Amino acid sequence: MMNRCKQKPLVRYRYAIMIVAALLFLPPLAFIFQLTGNERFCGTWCMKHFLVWHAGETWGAYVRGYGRAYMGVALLAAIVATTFFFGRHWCSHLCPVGGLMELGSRLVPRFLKIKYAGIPAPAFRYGYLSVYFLAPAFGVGALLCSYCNFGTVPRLVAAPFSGANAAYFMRTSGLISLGLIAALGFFAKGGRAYCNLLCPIGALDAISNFLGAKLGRRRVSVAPSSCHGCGKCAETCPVWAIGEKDGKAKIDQICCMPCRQCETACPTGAITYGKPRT
Amino acid sequence: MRVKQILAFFAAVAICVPAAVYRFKDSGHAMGRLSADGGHVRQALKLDPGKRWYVVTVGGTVSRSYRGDARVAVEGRPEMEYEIHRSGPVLDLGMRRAPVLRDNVLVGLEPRDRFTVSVVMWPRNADWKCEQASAFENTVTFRDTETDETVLEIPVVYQPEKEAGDDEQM
Repeated sequence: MMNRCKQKPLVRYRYAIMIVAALLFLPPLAFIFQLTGNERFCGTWCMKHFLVWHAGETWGAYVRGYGRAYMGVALLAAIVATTFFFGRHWCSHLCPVGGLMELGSRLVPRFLKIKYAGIPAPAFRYGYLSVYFLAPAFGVGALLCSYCNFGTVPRLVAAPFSGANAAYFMRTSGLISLGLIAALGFFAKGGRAYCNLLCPIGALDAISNFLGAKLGRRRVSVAPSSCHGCGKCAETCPVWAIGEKDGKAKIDQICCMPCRQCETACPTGAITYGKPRT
Repeated sequence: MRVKQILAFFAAVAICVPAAVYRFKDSGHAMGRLSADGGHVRQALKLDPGKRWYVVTVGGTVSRSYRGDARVAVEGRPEMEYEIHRSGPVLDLGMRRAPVLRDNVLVGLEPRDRFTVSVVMWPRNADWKCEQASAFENTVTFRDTETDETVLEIPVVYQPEKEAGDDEQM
């Protein structure tokens, strides 16, 4: 196991960074949103709604949607761009929604954890994303706000303090969202099944991650010459991104986020974050 | 392996399409513009009749012509018991001025303010029948406390599921 004092700050202080991000984005403080007069990732901060084209919507109205959600547009562009160059640090370190689910899952006893590693995450995720985009385009409905994780998690944190947020969970779709957050977040092994299966931002970010990896940008990678194929990295990965090929660990960049728990777990130091090695 | 991936893709589609198509109409969300001339709302809220309670979220902006306090109430039939909650920061750092909700009155509305209130409402008479639903219509009404004039009114109509269209309610 890698000596703790050798760990890079982004690895050693990951949970601390996640807690700071939660204070910035989530109630009770939600500092960034208070600064801009918002409450959560809605309205000007919504990172999702503007992307979806609705049947019958004019192109002018579609473009105006980008203007209405200008903070969300800027944030999503920043996330996708930084991911292309440096990997999915938004997902692993900064996302308050995924971070809270992961932190919450640490409090759940191991015997209650659900393992989702058998599900081929990319296939399921892009099936979900297809419906996310195509259902509104064909006018058959929308997933959008009804089951929005960026709406549900902040409301869950604020619910004990605020009647308006508690009321969200008195509606059927609010209860379903809560069930999804619980089953795929808090009770999931690693706490990241929601991120890996149902988060549209994560799905878009993963494409950027994959493209960046193809072009040789910095990613978590395995040096095959040092890997003994012990599987300890795969056991710790919260997004079940590590498989095995020819007796060596292989990282699937369409799932990987650089939490670098595998790096810590690797007994031979075969896994590192940086330019891909051979 | 490829078969498993194809199955996972179509399983996701099979689960998500009904989720996208079906709306639980025990809740709704409407946006409006509050103004001295009665306000403007984009669409009525369409709910299923016969539920034990409903949760309605109403958000909006205040027009440039309006300044004052507005009382929020659920009016019309069936008679509703209700609670109004204002959405806002849990720990208010006071960085931005915002109207406050006091005894169901939004106090201190100013031009270009944004507000969101959640209304939890339940029929006083729990026995109201589905077939009577079309006879009923409630409104979430904002009235100026000084003049008692309506400054925003969001209609709430009750449609049995077979009558309801596929109108989008966010």
